[in-house]
Amino acid sequence: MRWGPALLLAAVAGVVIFLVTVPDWSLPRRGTQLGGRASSMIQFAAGPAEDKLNRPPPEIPAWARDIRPASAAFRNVKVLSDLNAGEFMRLQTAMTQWVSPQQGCGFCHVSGDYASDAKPEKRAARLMLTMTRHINSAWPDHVGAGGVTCYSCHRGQPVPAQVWYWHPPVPGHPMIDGQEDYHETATTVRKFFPDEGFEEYLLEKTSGLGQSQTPLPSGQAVSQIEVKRLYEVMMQMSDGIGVNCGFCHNSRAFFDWRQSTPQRWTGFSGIQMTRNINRDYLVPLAAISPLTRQGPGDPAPRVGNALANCATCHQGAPKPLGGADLLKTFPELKGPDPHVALSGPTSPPG
Amino acid sequence: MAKFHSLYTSIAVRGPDEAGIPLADDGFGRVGGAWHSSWLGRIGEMQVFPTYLGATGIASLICGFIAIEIIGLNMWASVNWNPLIFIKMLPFLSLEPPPPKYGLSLPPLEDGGWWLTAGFFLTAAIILWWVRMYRRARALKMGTHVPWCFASAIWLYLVLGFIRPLIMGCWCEAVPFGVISHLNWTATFSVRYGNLFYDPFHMLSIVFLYGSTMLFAMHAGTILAVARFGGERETQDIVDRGTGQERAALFWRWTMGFNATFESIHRWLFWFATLTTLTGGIGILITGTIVDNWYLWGVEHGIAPEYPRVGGLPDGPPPKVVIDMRQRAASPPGASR
Amino acid sequence: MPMLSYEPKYRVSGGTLIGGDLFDFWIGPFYVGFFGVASAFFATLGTALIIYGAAMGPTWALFRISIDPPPISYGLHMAPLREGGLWQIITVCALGAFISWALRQVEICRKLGMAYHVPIAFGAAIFAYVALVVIRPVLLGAWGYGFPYGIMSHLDWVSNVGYQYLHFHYNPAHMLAVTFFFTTTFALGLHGGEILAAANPGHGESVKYGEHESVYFRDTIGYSIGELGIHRLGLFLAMNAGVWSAVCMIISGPFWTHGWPYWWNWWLSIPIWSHL
Repeated sequence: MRWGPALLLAAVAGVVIFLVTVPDWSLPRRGTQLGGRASSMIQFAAGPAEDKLNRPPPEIPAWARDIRPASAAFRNVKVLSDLNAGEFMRLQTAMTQWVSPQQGCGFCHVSGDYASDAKPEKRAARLMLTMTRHINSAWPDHVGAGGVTCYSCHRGQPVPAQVWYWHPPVPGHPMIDGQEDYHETATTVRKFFPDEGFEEYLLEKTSGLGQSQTPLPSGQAVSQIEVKRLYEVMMQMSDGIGVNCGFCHNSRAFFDWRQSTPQRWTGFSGIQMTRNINRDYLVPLAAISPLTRQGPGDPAPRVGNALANCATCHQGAPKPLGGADLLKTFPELKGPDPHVALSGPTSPPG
Repeated sequence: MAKFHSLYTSIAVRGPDEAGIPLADDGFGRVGGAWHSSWLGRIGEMQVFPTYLGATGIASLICGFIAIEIIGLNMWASVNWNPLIFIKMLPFLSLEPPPPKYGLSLPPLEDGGWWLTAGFFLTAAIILWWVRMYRRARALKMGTHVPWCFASAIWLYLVLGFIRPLIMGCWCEAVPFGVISHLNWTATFSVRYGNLFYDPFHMLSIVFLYGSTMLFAMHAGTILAVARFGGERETQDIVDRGTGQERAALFWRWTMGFNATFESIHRWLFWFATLTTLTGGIGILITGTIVDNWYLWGVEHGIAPEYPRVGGLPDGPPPKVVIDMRQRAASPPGASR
Repeated sequence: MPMLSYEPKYRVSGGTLIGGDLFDFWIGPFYVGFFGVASAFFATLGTALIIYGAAMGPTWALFRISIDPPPISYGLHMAPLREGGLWQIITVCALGAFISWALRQVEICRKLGMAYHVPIAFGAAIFAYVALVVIRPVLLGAWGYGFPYGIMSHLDWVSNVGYQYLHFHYNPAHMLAVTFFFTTTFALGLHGGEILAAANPGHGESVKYGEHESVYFRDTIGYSIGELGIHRLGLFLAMNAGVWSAVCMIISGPFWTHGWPYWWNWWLSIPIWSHL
């Protein structure tokens, strides 16, 4: 019986070694206290992974000065007609760097006929430009004076790394209980969790009033199913922007704005802005762009509308790209907000 | 010479197999030949079996088996019978109660009907098992304290899965069968009802839960410490106090000023364990039915501490939220049921 | 308070760790000992400081009183009394009181010729407290990470620390600890109930002993762990509940700062099923 204890010890050692080496761990980090002393509303500093994701955008070299209006120098200019040719070309170069550095100009343009709208990516880019200008002019509450550029979401990828896909509900089998729509092939938990929460709160305009405002029942609050979705989306949002619940809330009373932090206002406008982006820009995008895409980290092409959530831009940082002032070097992305009319649905399919 | 070890048995003694106290009523009687495990013998008794198998026991096992099969087969079917995906997804798979639209009516199988069926069979299994625990105690002419403690646990189970959903008018309020999903239910429940830490019966239940753990550590530690005096022979010491009990009692008397006896300590143990689920069940039952937001209830009853407000904050929520709240108060979302 | 009928013969001198005969006496039913004096000192001082802290605070309502730790900006330094320094001193008093209490239990065990299981088990609970107010704050670099001393405020702290990790139920050590807590309570109910059932068999019946106890559990669940075994099991379960609770807090913050659900990435990435 002498092998018994040794075997047990080896098994325990094996488990410990596995748990220490295989999962991700972090080392102790600096914390920032947002709430009172007793409350433990504390945020931890970002780690090396998030820092790497949020370095400032690549430098875009200056373009030669050319003050001819862009619509005079180039054909078929629809959105950027307020720029001059020099600004126009500089922005085009920047967009290529920001969205399709590998694919180059040919990602959107037909070679030899840059004016042609044959490629759907070019038409998509127009919509994306109006969206960017809209965000910068209509949502200073959230994006501030620093604003956003294409790089904020795309980060050198045609399809941003953190998107979610709307798709119609998976039809169930008549005899088998339906399951949560987990994305089984995902290798990260963030991509594994279902998208129903995003659908309800970042696409549709479901109210976030999940808790009752009175101690006794008065019919105000919602069913547990909706609160579950709210919890899910809040959790994914927090992880997507690299903070925890205490960044905005005191958890003893999530609903109470007087016990929340100023950041909750920014979060609130962020949710409204994301709904605006998804409903008015990314859903119509499906009418223009091919519906099958494969983003970085996707094991197989995904089908459906790619839609935005908080992580799309934040990529794990409370201030995307370290809070860089992006509009300083690209004021042409600030406006005007031309509201170019585009065909296509403006509400979610189905 | 071998030393006496309180934590494990270095020399396991194997005597004649215990056939068990003869029973007047036999039913199917005792089944299973006695089986001995030297590994078990290092901590406890070596003998496993015979056990008693009567009508209620068999019925309970069958109902329980049906419930487990319903849960497991639904889960396995949902991953297209793939065993690897089944293991990968097992923590996340779940058998969910029906959505709100069915209220208390019988839903179709794939939309909560399986959950209801599994719940029914599991409840039947548990209640039949309770009957088994009761009848075995009676047959051995012993007190029925164990089944009454079990009844308290069954109370919590029934509150969660049956009584409270009944009062709330919706099966959707009940707990799903699933590892992660039942934890999600717990977290959602607390958020929905305004942070359950402010529920006084929740506080009581936790007091009894931690208290039970503390008491078991205290009691078990005491008995093991006087094992060298035969202190583990508790019932003997109850009727005929020996030095083990005397030292155990004096340890606590000298430590904290009062002590229990070998019998009364077991009353402490029994009540702490029983009250954990008894008060817990009450705490769940009154949530959503009588109280809709425990934090606000706490504010009303003067238990919520005041914290200094975080600086730089406007006095109220954004205007859009105020509009939403007014609209919500004017026309509550009754249609969400 | 008079002594128990069998007590006098046990009241002998000896067994002390420190102090010899100096404090080797009883006050009423309480044994004193050097560590009794130490416990009384720390406990009285700590309680008095708590009352002083309450007096400095906004309320005397029992549930709302709170003695708060310092802001984390003070790091591991001593903070001014009103800014959390009081909390720090009270914590030292608490540690002094708990450790003295445990050592006093050791002295009493020695005097009674008992083994040391009780103070060791208490040590597991003290370890859990030390983990929360010493180990974790030191690892994170500030005493302010400790929990406030207040009935509701410490619950608000627990809630916020839980949500700091988005969904604390996904913490694997927490899952283990909770399982141990529930299992301990379950086993406690079984054990307490069983002894009472044997000793209170009902009208006209005689008291039952070990053989009946074993048969009850063999008949119902197939196995009876036995009189000694149940106490080994109970101690094991209860101590593990405390130890894993301490572990679940030590890893939250110092070794993991994201949401606990996201820690499980490794499970999804296991090669054999990662692309299924």
